[in-house]
Amino acid sequence: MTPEGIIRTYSDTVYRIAFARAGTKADADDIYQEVFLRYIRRAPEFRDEEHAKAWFIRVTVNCSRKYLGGASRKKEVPGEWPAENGPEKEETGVTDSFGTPEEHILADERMTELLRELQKLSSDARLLLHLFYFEELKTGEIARVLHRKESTVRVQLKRAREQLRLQSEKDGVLEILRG
Amino acid sequence: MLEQTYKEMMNGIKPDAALVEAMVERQSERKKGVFFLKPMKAAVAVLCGLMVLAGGTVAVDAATGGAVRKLFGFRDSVVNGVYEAEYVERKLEYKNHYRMTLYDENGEKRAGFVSKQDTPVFSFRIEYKNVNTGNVFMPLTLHELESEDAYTWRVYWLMNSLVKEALCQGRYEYGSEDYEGLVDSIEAGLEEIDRSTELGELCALGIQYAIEDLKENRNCRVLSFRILDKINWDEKGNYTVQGFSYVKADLDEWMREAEENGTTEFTVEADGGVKKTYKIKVNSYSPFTYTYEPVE
Repeated sequence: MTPEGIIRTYSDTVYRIAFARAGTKADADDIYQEVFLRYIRRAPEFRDEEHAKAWFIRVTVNCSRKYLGGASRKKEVPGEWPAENGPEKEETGVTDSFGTPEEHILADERMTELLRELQKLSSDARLLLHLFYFEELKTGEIARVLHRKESTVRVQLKRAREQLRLQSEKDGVLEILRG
Repeated sequence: MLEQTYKEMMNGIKPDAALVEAMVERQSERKKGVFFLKPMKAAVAVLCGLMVLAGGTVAVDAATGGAVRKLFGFRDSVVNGVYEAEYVERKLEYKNHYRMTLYDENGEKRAGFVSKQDTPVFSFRIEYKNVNTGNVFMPLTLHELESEDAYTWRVYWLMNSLVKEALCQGRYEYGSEDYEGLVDSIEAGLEEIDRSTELGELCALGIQYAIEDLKENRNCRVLSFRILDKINWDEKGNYTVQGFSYVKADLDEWMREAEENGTTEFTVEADGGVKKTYKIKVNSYSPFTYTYEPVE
């Protein structure tokens, strides 16, 4: 694959992981740029697609950590995820992809509620959930990419899921999601 | 159900197409010296670098230090007179709120605030302006330390760091205990500023405006910057700092021109006639992100 093809192929993956970690579009923009600037500067050669994907996930996680742990960002504030008044589309970058107005409103409400619940999790928990549910990586793959033990990943993932479930139940969000 | 909704939500989250194209373009060009900087950081970095070239020393935060190194090709910050300050501790007591780690001439870390013993630091200020109220405050001032205003400057920088935390970066939730504590700390800091000097009055005013904005939870945006102190302005708006003269740099104008034309140039000229021109190209995905490119 050409470098241009690689950038296009992994753009969404990188951006979503950055967003999952950081929680705002502005931060995701910065992290996204840093990841691809690293790719451009280093021009790594990938053995296969799996290698490339693992490299981009790893570098995105590293860049996110560096970015979020920077001088003025020492304190992790889960509230960065838009909440109180519901997510601002412009801020979250969530675009419309739903059919009828009714579907749109329902989907919007569901996502608003889910975002509220997600913001209560740590950025690491959000990352694990994202890699598992969205990127559909197995725990062993997540462990390799994040340089953790698989057993640790399993425990952390279980905790994150449990916390999200309990929160959602407590806040009545599960009912909303069920419609 | 959670999983399905999460997938739906995340499917809608994608990088702006222009951002992807910018990366592809960057990859194909691979131009040396082209990199992305936000305008505030770039503006500060350009000025800091020029001051260093003119023989001065500047104290900046670590991120700006990195930008200066990239822009001017400095390999070592300390050797080149750029002191990088890093925030390492934070408490909700304003006097201890931030400690900065500075590097001395030998490259060794030295904790604490910038002291009077440091080599002269030039001064300029950057104004943030609330677009709704017109209130202006200054989030960063690099001030000549060997002056009676050194303490004012330190308090001011400290307060501005707090203001930036709360207001510009949204670190604290409006109305929360932390937020209120932060505002209290900034108000306490305001009391520490000696308003008898011109700088003190300016700093106090800036912080006062910032406190008003904080209390009302109003957002601010960068509008312009200008240089203060040790600057001789002429009638054309040019100014001189230790042998270097600069074309007046007005971020407002940069942004306007860059946004209208897609690009603009910023030229600086040494008294000896050496010119350096920086091309500023607007990246369409973000009005606040520019590409800076030295023009041969």
